[in-house]
Formats: sequence, C-alpha cells, structure tokens
Amino acid sequence: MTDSFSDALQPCYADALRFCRALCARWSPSEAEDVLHDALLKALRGYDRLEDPTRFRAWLFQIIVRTFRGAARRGFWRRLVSLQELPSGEAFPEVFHGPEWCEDRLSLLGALATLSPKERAAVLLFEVGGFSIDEIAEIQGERTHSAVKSRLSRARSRLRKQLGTHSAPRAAATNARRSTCNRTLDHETLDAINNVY
Amino acid sequence: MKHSMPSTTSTDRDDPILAAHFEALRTATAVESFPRVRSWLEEASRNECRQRARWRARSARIVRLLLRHPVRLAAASAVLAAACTIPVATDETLAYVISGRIAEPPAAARATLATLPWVNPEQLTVLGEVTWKHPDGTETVEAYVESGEAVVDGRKIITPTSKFALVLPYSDAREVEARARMMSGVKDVISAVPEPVQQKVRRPALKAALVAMELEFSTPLPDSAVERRIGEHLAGLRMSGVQVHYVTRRDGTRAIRLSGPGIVSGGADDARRIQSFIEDVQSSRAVRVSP
Repeated sequence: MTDSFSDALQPCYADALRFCRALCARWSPSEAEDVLHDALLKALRGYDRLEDPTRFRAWLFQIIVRTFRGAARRGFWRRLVSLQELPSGEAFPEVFHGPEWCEDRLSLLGALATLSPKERAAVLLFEVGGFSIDEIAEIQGERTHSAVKSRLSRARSRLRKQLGTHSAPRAAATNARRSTCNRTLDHETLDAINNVY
Repeated sequence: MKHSMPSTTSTDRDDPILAAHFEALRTATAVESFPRVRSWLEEASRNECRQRARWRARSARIVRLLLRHPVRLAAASAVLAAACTIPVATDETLAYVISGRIAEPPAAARATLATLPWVNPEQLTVLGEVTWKHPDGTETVEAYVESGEAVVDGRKIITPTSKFALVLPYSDAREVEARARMMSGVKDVISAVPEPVQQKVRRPALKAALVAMELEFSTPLPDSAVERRIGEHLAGLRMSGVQVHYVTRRDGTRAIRLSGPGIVSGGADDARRIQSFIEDVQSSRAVRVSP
C-alpha cells in the first residue's frame, strides 16, 4: 500500500510541499512540517478508502487544508504533543529547513500571512495547486463559485497592497515579465477570473 | 481541471510583481526531500501495521480471558457497575456572599449599597447593629435589628452602623473579589469580605463523570428560544461546540443539558456562569465537566 501511495504522491509532492509551506506562512518551518507530517499520515491511513485514484491530488490538498485548519484551531495546544503521540520510529524529515525556503527568498510568505486562512488557502490552491474554481469550491466546501471568486479577488488585492511596499526579487520579476508575454491564456477558468477583476 | 500554467492569469500579467512572487514560490526546489519522505512513509506504514496488530492482539486476549472465565466476567461487570453507581462526594461552591459593615442605619445603607449597578436589592440583607458602650470605652454588638431602631435603657435609638450580606450567584472568585473591592470603595463602607458558600454534594460516580450540566427555567420557553439564548451566551463566553439536549425528569420537569468540548472546566462554575447570563434560569445543576 505504501508503494502505491508513494507513487501517487510523487507527481504532486513538490506542489503539496510549496502549498503547505505557504499555507502555514505565519508559522515556523517546523510547524509547517508538523502540518505536512499529520496530513501525510492521514492521507496514508485513508488511502485505502480513496475510491477514485485520479482524484488523488485534490484529495491530498483537501487533507492538507483540513489539517492546517485543525492545527490553527488548536492554537497554543498544537505546540504541545502528548507523550503517547510522540513518533516511535523514524523522525519526519526536515523538508522546509533548506535555503530555498527561507523567508528572504520567499517574501510572499510575509504578505500571505496577512490573509485569513480561507483566503490564503483559496489563492494558493489556485496559484500553487493549479486547481480550477470548481475544484477550489469543492475542496473548501463552498456551494457557490462566487464565494471562491470573491475570496480570490479579495486575497489578490490584499496581496498587491502588501507586496506594493516590498520589492520583488528582481530576477524573478524580470523572468515573470518575460514569460507572461510569451504565455497563452489557455486556462479554462481565466474568463471566470477575469470577470472578477 | 488542472491549470497548465497557473500563473498566466490576466491579473498576473497586469501585475508582474505579484506574478514574480508566485513564480519564486513555484520554483522553490522541493523534490530533493522526496526520497527521505518516501522512506519515512514506509516506516510510518510499518509502525501503523504493527500498532494495529498489537491492539488487535491485546483486545483479543482480554476477550478470550473473560470468555474463558465467566466468573471473572461477572466480577468485572459487577465492579464496573458498582464503580458507576457508588456515590462520590464533592464540595461545590454554590454562590458567594460579600458581607461587611457600613457606618449608616439600615435604610440609608441599603440605598447607598444599591448605588452599585450590579447590586440586586433582593439579594441584599441589611441589619442595624445595636451596640453597647462599656465603661472602658470599648463597644460590643448586642443585637441586630432589621428596622434599624431599638430601645436601649428606655431610649429609642437609631442604629448608627449596619451589617450587610449580599449573595452573588457569580462563581468566578476573582470577579467576586473585584466586586468586594468595589464595595469597599463605597462611602461609609467599613469592610466588605467575600466568602464562598459551599455544599457537599453526593452523586453516583458515573453521573459525576458526565460531561453535562442542567438548567431549569422558571418560565416555559420554546425549545428553539432556549437553544438560541444558550447559543448566544455560550458564544459570548467563547465556548464553542457545546451541544444542547432537552431532558425530561421523572417528575415531569424539563431541564436543559449542555455538553461538549466547549465546556472546559469546573462544571458547577460554568453552569452558574451561564445561569448568571441567561434570564429565566431558575437553577442550574452541574456535575463534573471534562473536555
């Protein structure tokens, strides 16, 4: 079972990591690792019950969102771990401690931290997870698309305000400018997003 | 449906800075750690299987042991039943009383104390002190009179000082102390000391362990109204996830039972705190509350 789970995880592993780190923007790398650890354990335990393996990606991101929400609700108590819950086997690897995850490089984290958890999740599901409005609505348990659209709109305008006061990484900005000129707008939800703005 | 290029929104194009920041996040190298996570997942999966097998073995052993010895099973059941029904005694603080002295006759003292907005005149008792002056100059209180008037040595006097006692339903000791301090600051108040009123309560162990409290309402209210009021007040007290159940007792009286993780400590305290906030609650009864 672990092998098939790992195989299913591998293609979306990098996005899941980025998503999780950015979702836990307010927290330290270790706390973000705790969320990822719990989410992966939950996913591993529930993998047998996943009926449609093609939905693995959305299912995994949904688990991460729920685990993050649970950790945020627990607040202070999430820092304390019951002795019984201490892992007896191999420790979870330090995935967010490398230089590529430092906040100087990812200045977006500071701006994301100012968003509400739901707004942060919505914008990251769209930008990092690459999910459509439909899928985000499903993951976030929303009945209407308009709720997700307005959430995305609010989140983006707040991010723009926050990032307006900080300078973007110069090279990244140049690359992004160059790349956006060459890209084609082939995403099916672009029209929907455009309506929002 | 997946994006082929998540960043290619018109907003990103209009806002290259935002796009650059997301691009930096999307290009954060993450795949290097996958082999370590994979090996951790394998280990976690093995542990999970081992733990499940251990639990299954333990529960099977207990079941086998009990089934093999019906006498032991009966004894265990009896011990369990007894543990649940044997009454346990606990001291519960029912209320607080702030008692003290004031340098005014009862009527004036009552009016002075009632200037505090939270003083309920119905819960306030004021008695005039009839004092006797000894030849050496000391004074002793000889009697307490409700009217504040007394006849001493054939002379009618109005008592110059009074004793008061105010019953407070608040269960938070700190709040009661703060109120006692406020009372001490009132003009002519000589002293104001808070004291808890405690009662020994005996309840079956099972009931004492219940995560519940019961409220009795003085006037009949529709269930929805009660539920709404309780919900509003619990939200005000930052208690979430509390469930409301309606209980009809053997004598036909109806009570509300609150249970759930939102009630965090001191069941009796919580019950009285709720009682003090919700109008129409005649009495509250609570057994120990645990998360």
